[in-house]
Amino acid sequence: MPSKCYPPNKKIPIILNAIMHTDQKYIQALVENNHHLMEELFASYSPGIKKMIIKNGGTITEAEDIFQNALLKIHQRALKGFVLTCPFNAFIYTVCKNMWINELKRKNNSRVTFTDIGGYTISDDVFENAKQIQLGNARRALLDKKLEELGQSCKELLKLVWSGKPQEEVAEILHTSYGYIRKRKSDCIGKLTLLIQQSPEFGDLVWP
Amino acid sequence: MEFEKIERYLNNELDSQEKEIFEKQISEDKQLAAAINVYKLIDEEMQNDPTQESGTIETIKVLSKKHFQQEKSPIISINRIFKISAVAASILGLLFVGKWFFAPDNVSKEELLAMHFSKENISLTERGSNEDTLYLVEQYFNNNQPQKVLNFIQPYLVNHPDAELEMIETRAFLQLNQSKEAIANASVISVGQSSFKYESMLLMAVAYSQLNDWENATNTLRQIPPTAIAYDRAKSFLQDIENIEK
Repeated sequence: MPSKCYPPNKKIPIILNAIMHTDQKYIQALVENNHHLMEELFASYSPGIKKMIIKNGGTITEAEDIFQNALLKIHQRALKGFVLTCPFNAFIYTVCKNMWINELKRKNNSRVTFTDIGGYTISDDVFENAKQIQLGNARRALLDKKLEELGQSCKELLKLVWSGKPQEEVAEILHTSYGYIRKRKSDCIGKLTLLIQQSPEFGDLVWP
Repeated sequence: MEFEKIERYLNNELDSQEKEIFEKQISEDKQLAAAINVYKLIDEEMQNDPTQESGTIETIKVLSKKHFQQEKSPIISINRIFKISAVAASILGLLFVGKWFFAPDNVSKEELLAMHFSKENISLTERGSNEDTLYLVEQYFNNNQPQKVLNFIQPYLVNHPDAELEMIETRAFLQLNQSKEAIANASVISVGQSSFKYESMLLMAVAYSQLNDWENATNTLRQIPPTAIAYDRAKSFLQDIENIEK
């Protein structure tokens, strides 16, 4: 029987103690590169995804790609503080299902009608968790794309600024002042902000 | 737009008076508020870029291979002229499948066969005088034309008996649902000491499954010993037969 999901909450600090699902351990395993739990994750959940993809016109290789990419996307969101509020089985199933439906659409495979495999209750909460992954990664993809449109000096500066070093250290590396780095950084992120706001995809991505 | 002021605001570097004025401005200017949102999200998203953290990504790739990869068949030499290359022996792989821990509902026969009998491409790279025959076998097999594979491989096998080619022949029979012929072929391989002994038993189990002969499929799989490379696949196959919608 599927366990109860809690309502999603965008404010992570509140979620942390209040409504985090116990399956958050798998999200944490991805953050910490915990081999033992990740092995458990694969053993427990990959067979269901194989089954779902094969049942819906896919191959074992496609199932592998979908499952692996789903985990990479979840991992990317996990590093940004994603908190699971639903059972992992329904969550990973929904993420993979959405990815597979998109892949079928991409292949223009109109002959395949998606058939769900049984056993899951896809509540609003599961849907919301899966949507967070999808939106987060779509936003990231747009950022990466627009970052490429910046000039080389901006890209290099932002790379340093985002490397995790304090801005004072970045200023030292570049033999300049903190104030100058802050000014250049804000100019570069400002350009990026405008590029993103002007892009056609911007409106679809629900910026928090 | 004053992006430097946004940066200073987000870094909490404005003095209290500047901050108060700026916050009032934000509350009155939706465009500014939206820009701050996007600016903040960009900065947070790109900090400590996840692509720099590769440990988990590597683990995902390794585990993915382990749980999805099709095991490759052992390699044998046909003879000095017709060796099958090690790299190219990505053939005859059956799926390594874990238990259905997840959603343990029934498995249909089609799903069972898809999981335990999948076709991988073959490559017969080193060829001699009969290069054309092996080349054609390879092409037809890879292009999913099992009848043509049989047309060429059967006369060839008369003069060049070889377990690996017989396994290819068996697979072609299975693709054509000629299950009895597949069983006969696989039986011959399985009674000898060929390196394909247990692989052939897996194929035999597939053939019995095609015939809905679950008892013989099960008995065949149970004969594969734990020391065999094929054991895990046999175990997984048995597990799925238990869940089959009979």
